[in-house]
Amino acid sequence: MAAFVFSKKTELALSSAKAELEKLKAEIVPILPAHLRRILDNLMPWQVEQVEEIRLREGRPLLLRLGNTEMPLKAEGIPAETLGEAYHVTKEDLQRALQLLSQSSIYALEEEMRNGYITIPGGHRVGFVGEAVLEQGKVKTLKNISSLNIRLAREVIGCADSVMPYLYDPKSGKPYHTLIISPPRCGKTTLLRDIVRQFSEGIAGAFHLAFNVGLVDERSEIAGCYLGRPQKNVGPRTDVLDGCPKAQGMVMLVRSMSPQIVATDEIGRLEDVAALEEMLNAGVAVITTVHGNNLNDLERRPILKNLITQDFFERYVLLGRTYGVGTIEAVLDARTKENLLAKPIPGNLKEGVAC
Amino acid sequence: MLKLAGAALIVFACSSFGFYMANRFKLRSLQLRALRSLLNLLETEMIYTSTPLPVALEKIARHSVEPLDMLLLKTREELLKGDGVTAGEAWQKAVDDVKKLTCLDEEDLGILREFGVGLGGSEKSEQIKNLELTKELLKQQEWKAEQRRQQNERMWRTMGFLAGLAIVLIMI
Repeated sequence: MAAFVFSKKTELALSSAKAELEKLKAEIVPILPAHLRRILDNLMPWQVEQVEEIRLREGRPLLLRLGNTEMPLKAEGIPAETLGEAYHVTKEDLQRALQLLSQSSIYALEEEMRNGYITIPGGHRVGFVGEAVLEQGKVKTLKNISSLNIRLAREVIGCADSVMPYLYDPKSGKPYHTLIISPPRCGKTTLLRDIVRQFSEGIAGAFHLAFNVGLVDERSEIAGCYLGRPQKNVGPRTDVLDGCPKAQGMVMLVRSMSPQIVATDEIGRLEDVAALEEMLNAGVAVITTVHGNNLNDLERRPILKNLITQDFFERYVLLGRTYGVGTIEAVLDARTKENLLAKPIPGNLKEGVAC
Repeated sequence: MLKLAGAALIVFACSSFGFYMANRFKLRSLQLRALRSLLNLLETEMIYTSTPLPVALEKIARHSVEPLDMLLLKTREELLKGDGVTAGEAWQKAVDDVKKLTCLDEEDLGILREFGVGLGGSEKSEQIKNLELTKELLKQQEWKAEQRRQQNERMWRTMGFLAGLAIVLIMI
């Protein structure tokens, strides 16, 4: 009987993974030129699962980034042995991809051209570079686009399960001010997204532990908004301010949406810190992330130093790659600097989740 | 009696054909003008409100006259299929699909196809150039069409009737 249940479970897991892959393909394929649409077809499912980036560079080989490795591809999607054998991307390919991802409305992408990226349905991000056109010393737009980087966004529902118990006061149910510290590409955005979702849904489904969350998503990475609507699951009580500068956005949210928690990604500028202090005075819990390996790293950065020394935050979550992407290395109590975890928790993120 | 009926039928048929041909000259003028106003609307949507092309096309189609709204809707439909078609290709395909329904001549259609090449594929300043050029060319075509209409409209109308009469006379 147990065996039967197990097999049923694995089967379910497999079919849901398959459905996810199909969904991923359905989102990515429409923006690729017709002759490159098969590039994901010849890969093994576990390889597709790992694809982080698809890189199109004019006149250079077509490359897939899978976790820590790279794979040059022939046009039919067959992995090439050497870079020389790989399909070389043409200007026409780039132009076409750009047209497809903008629904042939490149003229409407002014803002995106200035920023160098666009979010497509499904929350995936396409970054591009080319020749900058300047106006009064500032980038007005990009022309002659020469590289595209299609970054696949994945959400891992439940990846915050193991840290959630440390992120709120068990007695009062009040969420702690939390800072997630992580080197790049360790899954911090993915973790933040799931934390937001869990607070928003109510921890373990409890109504008294559900909060209104205001999310400032400056780079459309957390909620992956397309036309303002979140493409990722960020919970039923989450209000997303998409594409807004963090500092301004946090203040706006507090005034307009009365959140109990404000979440945002990658703080680091002076105005961000000022806004965070304002949040504290407004009685709103803050959950945010920062690039770094450990606390000492942050203390060396003048702008962030004060945040650490003044004990603004109550919890630090440290991410790393000890047991693969998304390993939660430690959860620190900010006052005592005591590690609340007995040992690092391996991330249940799959290898290859973009931060 | 039967002869008379036959004769009447021939005259009627020939003059209808004449009227039809005369009407085509008029319609071509009208359609060229409609195209120009359609491009003006498209320019407003694209340049001033930065509307994505599929949305803009649908909006303008609602304000456009008969065969031309098909041109817009077909382009939109093709674009949204997700087959990897760019707006330019979708537009050119739509031009070929609807050309039978319009009264435009090959020269007019050529201008439209040419317009498709750059449609949606560049930033605003380039799009404006493309739109302005096309509008200017269509204006010239409109002028030519007007000239030809004046020359030919009456001729076709009377000629249809007269040709019908001539056939009847020969056959009698």
